[in-house]
Amino acid sequence: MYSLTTNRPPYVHVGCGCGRKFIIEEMYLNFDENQIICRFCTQNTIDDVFCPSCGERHSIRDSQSLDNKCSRCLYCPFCFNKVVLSKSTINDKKTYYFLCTSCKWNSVRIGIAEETPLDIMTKCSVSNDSRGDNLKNKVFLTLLNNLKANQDEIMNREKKEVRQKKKTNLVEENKGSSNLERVKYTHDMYAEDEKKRKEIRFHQMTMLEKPIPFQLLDGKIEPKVAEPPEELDLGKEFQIVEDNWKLRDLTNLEQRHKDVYNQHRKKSKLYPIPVSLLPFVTKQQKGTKKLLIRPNTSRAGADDKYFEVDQLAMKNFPTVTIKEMHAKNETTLDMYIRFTNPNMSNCGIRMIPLTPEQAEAYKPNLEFDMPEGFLKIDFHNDLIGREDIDTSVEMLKEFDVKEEDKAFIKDADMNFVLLKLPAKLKEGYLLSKNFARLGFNLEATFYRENFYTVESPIFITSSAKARKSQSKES
Amino acid sequence: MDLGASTGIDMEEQMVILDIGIDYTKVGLSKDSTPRQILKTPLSISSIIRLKDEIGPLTLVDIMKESKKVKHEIHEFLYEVFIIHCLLKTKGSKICILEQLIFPRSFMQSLAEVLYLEFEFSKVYFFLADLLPLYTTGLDSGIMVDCGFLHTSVTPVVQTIFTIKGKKHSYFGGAALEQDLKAQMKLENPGNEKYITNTLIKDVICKVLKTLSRKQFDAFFATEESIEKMKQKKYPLSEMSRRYEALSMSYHTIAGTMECFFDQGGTDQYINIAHMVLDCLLELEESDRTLAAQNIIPSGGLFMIPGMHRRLLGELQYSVENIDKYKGLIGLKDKFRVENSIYPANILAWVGASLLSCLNEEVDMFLISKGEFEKDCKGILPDRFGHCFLTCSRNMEIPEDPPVEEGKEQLEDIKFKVPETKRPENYFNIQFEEMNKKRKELLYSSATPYSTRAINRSKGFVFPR
Repeated sequence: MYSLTTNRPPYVHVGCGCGRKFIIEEMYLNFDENQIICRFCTQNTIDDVFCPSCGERHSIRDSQSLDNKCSRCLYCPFCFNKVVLSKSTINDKKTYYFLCTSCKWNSVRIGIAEETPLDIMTKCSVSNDSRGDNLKNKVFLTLLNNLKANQDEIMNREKKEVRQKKKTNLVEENKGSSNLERVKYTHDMYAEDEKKRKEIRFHQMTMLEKPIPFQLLDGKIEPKVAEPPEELDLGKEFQIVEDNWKLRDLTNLEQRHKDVYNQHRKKSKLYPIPVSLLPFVTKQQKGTKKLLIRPNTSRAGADDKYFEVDQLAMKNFPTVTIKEMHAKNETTLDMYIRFTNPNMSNCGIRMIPLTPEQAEAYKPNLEFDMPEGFLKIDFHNDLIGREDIDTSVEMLKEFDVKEEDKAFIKDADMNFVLLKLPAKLKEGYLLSKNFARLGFNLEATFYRENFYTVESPIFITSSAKARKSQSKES
Repeated sequence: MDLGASTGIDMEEQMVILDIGIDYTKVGLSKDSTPRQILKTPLSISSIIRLKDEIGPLTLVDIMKESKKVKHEIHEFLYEVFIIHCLLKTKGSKICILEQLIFPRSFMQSLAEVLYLEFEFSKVYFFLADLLPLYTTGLDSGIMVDCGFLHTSVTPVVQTIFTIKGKKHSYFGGAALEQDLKAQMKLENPGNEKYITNTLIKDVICKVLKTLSRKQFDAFFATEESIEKMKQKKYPLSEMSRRYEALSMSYHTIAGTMECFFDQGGTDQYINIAHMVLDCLLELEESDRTLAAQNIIPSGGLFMIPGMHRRLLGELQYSVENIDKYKGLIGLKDKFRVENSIYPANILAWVGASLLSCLNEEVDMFLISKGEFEKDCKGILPDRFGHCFLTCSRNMEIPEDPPVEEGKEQLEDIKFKVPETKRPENYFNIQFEEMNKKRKELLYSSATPYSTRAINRSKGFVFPR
């Protein structure tokens, strides 16, 4: 989920410490801990916000007031392409309206056509309340005020209770006489008072002169119930249903998701949708807060790059690709895996088997002999400063190519290594029915300013069908 | 429409309100009247539930056994929600989560871990979603009827207190409706079953289905002739989209599919929402029934299908007259009132949360800060709602009346007696409420308008009314 790859093999995934797997292009390298991390293991902060169509930049505060939408740009309600302001003469008058260049929808259909461009922009902009939820906001405010008033009442009552605890002695010891009248306040009077208070509250909330439900409850007004006709004609009932709605008039579900409260139910009355703003996100390493992605806030120059990337994994870790897979029969195959050094530095790699936890999670079904030792991928065919290098591994290079494998090496590109790996499927698996799954840990040693090693699990999934090999055909 | 900008409220005081449902998620800011975004929840839970034939209390628990996978999915989904859709700064800010009683604790635990540890929210409020629609009416009593994707539930609240014995619940909701509708459409369109996909079913539920009124139901489903007439009347779906050219629906499926929520036969397969409401009323005390029946609040996405409000009211009135079990409630027949709110039924809980979050410090009884979660709770989310509603007690002693001496009459007209509510109250955060009480005592008792000399002089003084 949330990866740039599709789930159809063949693909090569790199594993992160959190358990997720992505392609190498989506991963970052944590130089402090020498670890490959995915975007969910980074700290994300939003600096600013921009519109993808016009490029206008806003702060987060401004975007919240605009409902995270651009004030100028609009999408067509049918094809979701950008809409353009155009003008023409209608009834001998200059009119401006919105037009979609791809599906030719125009806003004249829904009555949005003005004499000046300013008028039409103010009508359709996000900050305008003409199609907003004014009534809902009013009701919200009245409800909120009522709740706060109730809270104040409760607080006052609590105040009185706390103070009366001190003054109960005064009330009980009624020795002196006074000219003041004593009011008998009973429980019935309390109930009546509360009823009146509720009525007032309801009246305030609904903003009506006569609060209707309470009158109904008292029996003063009888509720009006719609009585059915004496003879129920089913044929007429069906006609009524047909006249009321038509399938053609109803909206698309996608349209509802975009803007639920401001769209008409009828398709013919849909109006354009404002463009959603996108964020400038800086990604940092958790803990050290070292920058991994930094948005390019300066728009000067011809470069339209929004983001500057410092620590992409594909620039600092060897990329693993599947060159070819040849199936000899239903269970055995030859895999040609290519390891490419992404930068001009010296690099050496080593393959390590998966840990039992990783094997349980991934469940590889291919068995192969893991090559031991260090594989070099460097320009000059030697690694500066390392004396413990064991170059006794058999592998394919430009100089050691056999005739049958020459077809795979085309360019004299020294910065890669091609490994031929004969493998066999486990019992119960067949190439015609199952995908081939291979996994190993890759340890890469680089020389940048110092030596550093990075280890990461690699998961290869591929499909290979049994076919005749090239040697037999030739 | 942002209320904060229009009323000049400081944007920093706003908090995020997040309602994660099984099918749709609603997210927005507090002090707003509607959520900013309504997104489809991409968790694997919804797709697994659609495939299940029967849904019970253990289905969610079984699905959420792999807590690490659930945590990853929640993290990825919330990343998209906060950073791409809503453009929010998460570190150090506040968030409200709408919690439901039926959700397993493992889900809430993984959600809390993601919010505190990954997104670094400083304060997380947990509100109970079953009770929030009541705030949208402005009253203190009512019955909330929630009809959603996974379940249908009825929760009663009387004078601000929720009694758990009145709560009714059933695992019959939108998921079961989709399966029923799919089966019926496959019967009506033999040979074109590959076109009947989940997207088509969703479109049909949102756009085409309707609910008959009680009188229409009595007339249309009375005889077999009328039922056959309805089955023969067909509507082509080609007008919706070209993909559905070969498909058609009969009036019987359009109008009759929603009858599974108003089942007359009392089968185990289907439910009757009106009977659930009446069963809930029977559990309440007699003095509380009128208060609750006058404010029935339907919420949930399925109540947006046209005709549901009217049918619920008609079904309640019919059941009270004709079914023996509910004849004791016939006095409430004219008092039933189904709330027709200005807000759509699927966001009522969200709006209630937005209202509640605007109140003062009393809301802090639902709060768990990051420090509390890590130190006091040791990384385990406490189950306040289950605990407090099952025990239903505040552990407080109600003071008894003093004994009356012989020969002396009891002076009732002097003492102002508060009506004694022996109803048990809900006790969410014991520590918060005890500290709050002490704070208020200090605050109120120190600020009296009378001096001690005046109090001593005026012994026997009676406060005028």
